[in-house]
Amino acid sequence: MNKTESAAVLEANDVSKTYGELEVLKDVSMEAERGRVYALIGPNGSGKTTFLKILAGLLPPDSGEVLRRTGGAERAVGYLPQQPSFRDGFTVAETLRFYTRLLDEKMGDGYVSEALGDVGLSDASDRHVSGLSGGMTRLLGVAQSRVGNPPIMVVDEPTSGLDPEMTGRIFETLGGIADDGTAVFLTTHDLDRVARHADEVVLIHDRRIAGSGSPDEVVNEHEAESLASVFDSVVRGGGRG
Amino acid sequence: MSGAQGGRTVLRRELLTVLRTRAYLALGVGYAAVVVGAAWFSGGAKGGYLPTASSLTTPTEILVPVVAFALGYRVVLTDRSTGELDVLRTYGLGRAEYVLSLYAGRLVALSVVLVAPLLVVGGLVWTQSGPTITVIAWHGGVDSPLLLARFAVLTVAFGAAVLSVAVAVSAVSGTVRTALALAVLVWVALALGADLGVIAGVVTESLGDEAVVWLTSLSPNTAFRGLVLETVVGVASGGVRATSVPASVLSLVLWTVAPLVVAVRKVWK
Repeated sequence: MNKTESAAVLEANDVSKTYGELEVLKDVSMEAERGRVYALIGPNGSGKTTFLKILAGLLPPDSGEVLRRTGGAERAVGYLPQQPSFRDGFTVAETLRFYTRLLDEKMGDGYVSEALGDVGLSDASDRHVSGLSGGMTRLLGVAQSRVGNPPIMVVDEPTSGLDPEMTGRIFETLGGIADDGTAVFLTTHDLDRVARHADEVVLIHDRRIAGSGSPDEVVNEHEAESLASVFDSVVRGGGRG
Repeated sequence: MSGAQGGRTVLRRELLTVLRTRAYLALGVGYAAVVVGAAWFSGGAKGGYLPTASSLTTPTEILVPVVAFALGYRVVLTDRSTGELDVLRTYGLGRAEYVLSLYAGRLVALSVVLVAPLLVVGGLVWTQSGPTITVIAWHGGVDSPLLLARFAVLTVAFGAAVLSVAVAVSAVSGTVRTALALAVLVWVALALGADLGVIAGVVTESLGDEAVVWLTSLSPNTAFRGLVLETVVGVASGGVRATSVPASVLSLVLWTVAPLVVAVRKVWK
């Protein structure tokens, strides 16, 4: 990766967000580089999804700013919602072809086949989306979020409700996408997987970033045994480790 | 991505969605059965194009909103609830491109549903009246396939207006239940509200003749009915002024455009 590519592809500065009278985020800042997986963790309702959507440009912050340095990328941000669901009546290949055509009508079946192959769905290309398992639907969602090779990918709880095997497959796929030079942001409650697959952990609690760094750094900083211990101590207010 | 390219892609998907959804196909077949049945059993088909159009006016006025709402009341809502709207935004699709393409796709499907049975009805009239008779004397005017064609155009225009309202309902609703309730409410208001208002005005003598003529253009239903009376039935029967044609046309245009503007503004911020 050259110097330009290693510069921060995304920068959030003092981002705050309030819903009615409920302040969800207060002066949250972070930087992200391409080629890394950023795991946003925190208790339910801590503002992870809100922050994710702000990073993706889908939700405006009340104050602060998000800078995305995506150059001339055809698509700046790829997004996978928490419970992706695709139009009934279409096959897997047709569904992905729809998204490719939004960017480029001439993007051919070759791209679709390759993209499905990358997420391990080649054999399912002719299956109807309504017949896919939850895990396969997520994989199709990952393929969708990758269309156009966006330098930033935002993935909201990609493994919730999935079995361990499929969870591992999703994390490995996202890791591979990061290896190709994408900054991958995800939210999850699976802290063991985060410890194994994430390059950076961002612990959001009480409207702020309560800890960030590599999984080992965060664990060491809190003098804890694991990310789960860090999570427990921060969320339950028990102090360090 | 160019706007036109994204729009074409969304439009194509909407058409395929309607084509591949059994419930919509059943709805189309059911509508066709009612329209053809009404034309046949009313005896209109044997009487000619004008009696046929005349006999279909009320069923059309009642059923077109049902079909249009069924096609449109969940269309934005579903995309929102599944996160699809957020996904589409990351492809650079604009609000107007999305809503208008969605609408256009559904409108093409609706038009096919509305016109196809009228083509069948036209064929029935043709065979029942005899193929050599294309223009016949009828009361003070003439009967012609053109009258049924006009009726078809007005039916599509009416459907376009109601579909626009349905898409707006879908864009402003947070849940399917809300959308359904709002759709029913709007339909009842459109179907009955304007009529009841005019009747009340006439009964209480608070409206003059000219005001009644203009007020009958207010809702899509009354505008459609008035235009049918003026440009289909009135051509043959002659003379009776049921509504103001410009006002009714303007009403249908506004009922088509204004809800789409609302939908574009509300679909996402």
